[in-house]
Amino acid sequence: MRMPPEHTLRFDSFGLKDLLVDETVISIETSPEERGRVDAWEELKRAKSEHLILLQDATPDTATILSKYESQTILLTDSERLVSLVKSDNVLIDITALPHHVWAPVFQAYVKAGKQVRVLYVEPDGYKTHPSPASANLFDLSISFGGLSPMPGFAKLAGPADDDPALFVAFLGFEGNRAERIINQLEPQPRVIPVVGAPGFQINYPAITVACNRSFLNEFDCNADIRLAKASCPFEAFDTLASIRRDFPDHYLYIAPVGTRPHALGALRYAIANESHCEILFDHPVRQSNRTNGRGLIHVFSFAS
Amino acid sequence: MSELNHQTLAATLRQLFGDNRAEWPTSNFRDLFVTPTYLTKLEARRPCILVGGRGTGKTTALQSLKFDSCLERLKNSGQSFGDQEYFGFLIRINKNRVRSFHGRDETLDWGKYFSHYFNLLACFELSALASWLQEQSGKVLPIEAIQAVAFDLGIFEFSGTSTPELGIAIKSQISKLQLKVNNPTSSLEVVLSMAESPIRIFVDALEKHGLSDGRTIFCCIDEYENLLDYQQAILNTYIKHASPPLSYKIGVRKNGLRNRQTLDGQDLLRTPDDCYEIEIADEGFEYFAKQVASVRLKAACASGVPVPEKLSEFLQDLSLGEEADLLGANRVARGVLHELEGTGEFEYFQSKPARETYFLKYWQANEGGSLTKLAKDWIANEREWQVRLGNYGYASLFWLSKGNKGARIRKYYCGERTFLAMASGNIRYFLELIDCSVTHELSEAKAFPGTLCLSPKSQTLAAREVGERRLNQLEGLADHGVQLKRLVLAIGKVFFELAREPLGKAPEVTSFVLSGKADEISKISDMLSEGVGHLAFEVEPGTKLTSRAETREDEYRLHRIFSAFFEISHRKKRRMTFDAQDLIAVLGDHPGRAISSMLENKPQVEEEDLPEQLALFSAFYGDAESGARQK
Repeated sequence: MRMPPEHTLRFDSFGLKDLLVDETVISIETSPEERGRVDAWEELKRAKSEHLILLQDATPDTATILSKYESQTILLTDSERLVSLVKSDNVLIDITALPHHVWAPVFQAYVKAGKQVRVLYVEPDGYKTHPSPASANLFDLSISFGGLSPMPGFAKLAGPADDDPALFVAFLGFEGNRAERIINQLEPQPRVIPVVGAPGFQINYPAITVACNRSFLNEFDCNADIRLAKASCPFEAFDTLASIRRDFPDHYLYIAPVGTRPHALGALRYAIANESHCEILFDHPVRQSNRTNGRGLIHVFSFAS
Repeated sequence: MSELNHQTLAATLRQLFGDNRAEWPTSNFRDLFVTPTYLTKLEARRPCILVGGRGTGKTTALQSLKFDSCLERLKNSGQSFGDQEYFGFLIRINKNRVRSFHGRDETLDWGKYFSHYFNLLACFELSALASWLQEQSGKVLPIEAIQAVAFDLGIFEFSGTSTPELGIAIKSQISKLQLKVNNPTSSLEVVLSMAESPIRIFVDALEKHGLSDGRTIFCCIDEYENLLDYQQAILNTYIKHASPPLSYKIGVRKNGLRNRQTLDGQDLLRTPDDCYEIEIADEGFEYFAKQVASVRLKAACASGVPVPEKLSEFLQDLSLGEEADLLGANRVARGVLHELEGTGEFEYFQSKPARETYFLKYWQANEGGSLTKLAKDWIANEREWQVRLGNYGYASLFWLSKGNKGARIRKYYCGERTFLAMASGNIRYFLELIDCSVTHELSEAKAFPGTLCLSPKSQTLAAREVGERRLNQLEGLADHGVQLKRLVLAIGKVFFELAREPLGKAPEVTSFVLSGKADEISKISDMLSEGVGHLAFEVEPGTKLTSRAETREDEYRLHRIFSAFFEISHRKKRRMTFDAQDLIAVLGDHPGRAISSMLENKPQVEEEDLPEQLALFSAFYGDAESGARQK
């Protein structure tokens, strides 16, 4: 009989009892979305505040850290300092509401330091639709985009030569123009392998994802190359990248994690493990404050070393 | 002609007109490359900046300066290495890489790190050039010269003796720099080279040891817009102070040179004092585009595809009268004659062609008055009415389709001149228009025609499709692509309505200036400026101001590639004023209301009467005030 994987736990609600012994939680200080407000963190603040580190993004390179003792600004590329914030071996990063450019370097620092890293992600109940959409993008999720630039700690200064083989692996989400905007920065444009989150958070989400990305899929003639990975599973995203690498062994991978957060997490985990042939391309959306509503399933992914 | 043959011929044509990319295989590049009219300017020793939108051929032009591409071209015309006057190498600025030197925190002196990175990139390319020069000339770059470059780059442990080894050492130095950039607070030591110094040492060595032999070395930098402002200032300094044998050739999108400062404080990079500025759109585009298409038509003929060699024959055109006939002038003329029946004017107009008679009705629709009175006036002033027909005939074509429900084409866009105008200096657009017309033409043909010419209908459908494609791609091009698309949709809808029913009797309004509060104008101007760079809009310094409320002179219009999509004139005629506040509102939740306001609340075409390509956006257009709909 196939047993459920042990690396992922799912909860309807998450309490202090669900934390590991001596586990330190890293989360956002103030979440603009309902799902990002986890009651357990309030409890933790009262009961064991030394085990709670709250972050707020300050600039594209720094975050403000609020812990029991002090408030300080930290450079997100300073992995040594990030790691020194947590005394225990167990760390749980709540990525639900933290911007990618904040949680990604934090995650990388702890993984590389050999900590027992768990990541918590709360699904939304739904996404805000646009009242007057001008395209197949029916959702109103971002105010604007900071544009393509590396996330702290993920900068690459060299890539393949023009005639070397390369792939553009796009984890697709509801904002269909993002993958297209990113690949348009590449010259020459590599072959595209899209990854769609299926099964999705909800049964109709994979179809909506394909519809929202119709223009991108047609423009790059890659409908037949779509790969599927469960939308809520970073490990499937990781395995998908590994299988793409097996299928295209000599190819350099440009990875655009613009789909679900669990997919982005899996993509970054893969990039951390395969620095020589991977490059993360990210466009830094400025999120609408009320882009989601409600709270869905809570996932806890274990990246025990 | 067999089905297979049909497919082969079609595939040959599509391959020829499919794209004008710099990434073609070398053999095609050689055969189909057409020298741009500005190449002589580009090839001059002086630094120059090549300005053009995406698809204008910047990369192709810069690529043609590369040392190996240039020799290929020379060999094609029977010349050799000895005739080569310059050696170019190309650096394409990768946004994701240069933004690693973000300069937003003060941990590192990012300017120095970026300068070092650029030195490494340039010297890597120069290593390849040096290897090639050694092969071509039979001369050798001494080991000491190679080691001097390595030393100047801070690669003290370099023990290689050849340029390929230098290339490898540079790559490993870039990896080391990458580690430092990702961990700026780490103790990792990276020795930084001085701004431009290793590049100069390298080119001077090539000259001193006879490898470049008096020829200029062009450092070609493409996609300059991807650099951060402070990085532009660093490279601007190199350009400003360039001296032989080194010169710089820059490719940049319009409005992409955001910073003209140099490292020397107030010393700006000036044109023409410090460098030429070549605006591709102003450099004989029509001649160049016709040449490009003609070369491809000839190549098609040579491959056995039956097409005319002359572009003007390939792209069938329509006269004003022919187009009026196709758009329903007969129907309108019959109505005119019916109204005039029993009057003394009937006979006069009955003998006139329908393509003139319909105009009487158009004039009445715009100016009012009785038809009989206007008919009398025409008879009495025939010459004046012919002038009027000449002046307003084109505008009347848009009116002709009004109320013509179900018509697939309500305005034609065809012919060499129209396609050249719609491409507006963009060679990729021009070829795409032709390529798409070929697809439409062949999709309806059962067999491959004896001589394939592109009908006005195929060209029109293609022009509409290319416009739609470009509109949908906007979201994927610019950082504010979503907002730009909303602006284009709104402004296009306003001009679409005005083409059918002009406000204040001013037909062919196709451009606009901004009025309103300074901060709102500034916000929209910034967005329009980004849109100009991404070919959503075109801009030119405005003509004289028409009202006191106008505070900026920049005159904008939609890029002409959208003309057929919005069924508006591709010609540059009149302008109107938009309140910046309305354009900001277009970006919000209720664009329909903003569009109504821009149209001074005049009735708009009903949703069910919109052309199908606009009806697709009814969710965007659909929230106007209910009173502002037209029956």
